[in-house]
Amino acid sequence: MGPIIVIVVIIGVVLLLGFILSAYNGLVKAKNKVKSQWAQVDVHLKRRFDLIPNLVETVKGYAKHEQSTLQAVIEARNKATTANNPKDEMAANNQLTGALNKLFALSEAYPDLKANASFVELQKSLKDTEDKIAYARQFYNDTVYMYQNKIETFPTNIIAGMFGFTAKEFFAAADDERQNVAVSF
Amino acid sequence: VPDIADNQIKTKSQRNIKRLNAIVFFAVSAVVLALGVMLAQVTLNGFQYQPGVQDTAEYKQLAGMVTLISAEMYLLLFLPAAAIFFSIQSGRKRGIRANASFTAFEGITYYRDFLKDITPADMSIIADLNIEGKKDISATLLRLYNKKIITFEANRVVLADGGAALSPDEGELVNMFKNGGITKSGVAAWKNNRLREAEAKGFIDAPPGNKIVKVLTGCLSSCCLSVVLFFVFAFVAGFLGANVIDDLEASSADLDYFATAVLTQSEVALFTEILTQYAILVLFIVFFVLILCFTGFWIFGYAMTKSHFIKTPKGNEIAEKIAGLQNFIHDFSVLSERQKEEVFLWDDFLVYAVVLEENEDIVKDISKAFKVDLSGVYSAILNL
Repeated sequence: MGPIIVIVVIIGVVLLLGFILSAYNGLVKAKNKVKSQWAQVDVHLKRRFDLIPNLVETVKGYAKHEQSTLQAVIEARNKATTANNPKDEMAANNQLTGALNKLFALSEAYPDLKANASFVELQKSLKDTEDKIAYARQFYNDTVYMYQNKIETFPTNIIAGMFGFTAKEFFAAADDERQNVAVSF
Repeated sequence: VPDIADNQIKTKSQRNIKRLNAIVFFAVSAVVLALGVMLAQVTLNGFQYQPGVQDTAEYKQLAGMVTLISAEMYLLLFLPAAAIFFSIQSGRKRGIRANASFTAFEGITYYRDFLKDITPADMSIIADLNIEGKKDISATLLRLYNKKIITFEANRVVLADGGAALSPDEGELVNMFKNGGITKSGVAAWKNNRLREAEAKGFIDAPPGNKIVKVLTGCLSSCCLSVVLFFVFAFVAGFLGANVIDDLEASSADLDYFATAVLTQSEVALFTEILTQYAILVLFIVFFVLILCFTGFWIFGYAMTKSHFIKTPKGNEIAEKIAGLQNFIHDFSVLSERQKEEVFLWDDFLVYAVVLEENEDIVKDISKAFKVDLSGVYSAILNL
């Protein structure tokens, strides 16, 4: 093997290693952005879950006969707080949104409850938190989009396959959650 | 020149200057190299020699000197132009960096929330102490669109809700459209009012000291520097030039001879000596011309770019958040690919992306509406 071939091979190997290193680091950074943004979503979700017990207690005092609705909210909240991965947490959060919508809908039938300052304040806090979740979720989905692009497009898909970078879930908004925006405060 | 903090809000102007500098540097280098070599070849080929002279060490020295002087002459012709360009660019770059720099208080890397009570114009001004008509008007219109005060229909703006509460920047913009559309003077007034507003809100301030005194001091300093450099240059040039003339007179040869005669070896040696001194003289000329160009035009470039305002502590505090927001939008979203209709989903984040130059497509899209003439048309519909 002549010296030129050796030099060409060495240059080729160096370039290949450089590419692998750069692609791998890019994938790690993209994955970390997904994790970081999920942490932001999680912070707002936790805040939302923390507001639920007080809300249930307030509603209980005015709408004792709505046990099934309240129970559904509590169950959805418990499920969400015990979820240990983003996918389960997303599903539980969507279930909680549906249960909360029903709770707010029934409050329409209880004028005293609607006028209760604590209830109004909780509704406002929930609305603010849901807005924050919505924006954080949009950014989260964008980071997932950027990450997916990296692991699915050539040539970084080869590196992603080699090092076990797997697809992440998008956080889709539940239909119930969209309806939630329409609740009159 | 103020100290430049490491904290910078990345503006398009900064990116453009870097790109342009690189392109011009490579272009000028390539041209200088190619033409310098060509000029040296042409000059050397113009000589005639006695047989055997070209093989001597003296000839090689002469050839070297001719090449050097050719290159220097070439540099003298082209470098001032390049120096003027680079010095203006360098001064501008410093000015742009000074405008976009801020003092960090909290060390924010990412800021992930809305900036309440900060209008797009405020944000633009705090970011780089300047307001850009097309971009910032587009961002303000996008915000009006998000508030459903206006809608866009086939490259024109339609007033959707005339009764909605408008902030001063929005109100003035809407009024401008009502009164005949976007005009140069209207935009200038709008921009000026936004600067005054930002000053009144305490985001920016006029720097301490009398502006006239500072301008005069700057002018006087640059004039004095130029005069000093001129005398240094004249002294060195006079000294070296005198030596060259003395040598030429002593040689009893004239310059015509240089071009037409068949040179002997001793004449080659003599011309080598003369040209060596001449090369040093030209080198000094090149050097001082460059210094003069750099100092004068650098100050010009800086003065043309540097804003008359500085950021207040309050402005710096918000600038840090803006920088964090810019990082967040850049690293955690693809807002650069969004359309103006998606503002209803992204709210002010998309407006911020427009102001912070992350999304230029929306500016192009909205500014299409600027071109339509409004003259005489206003009922509920506003053509921009």
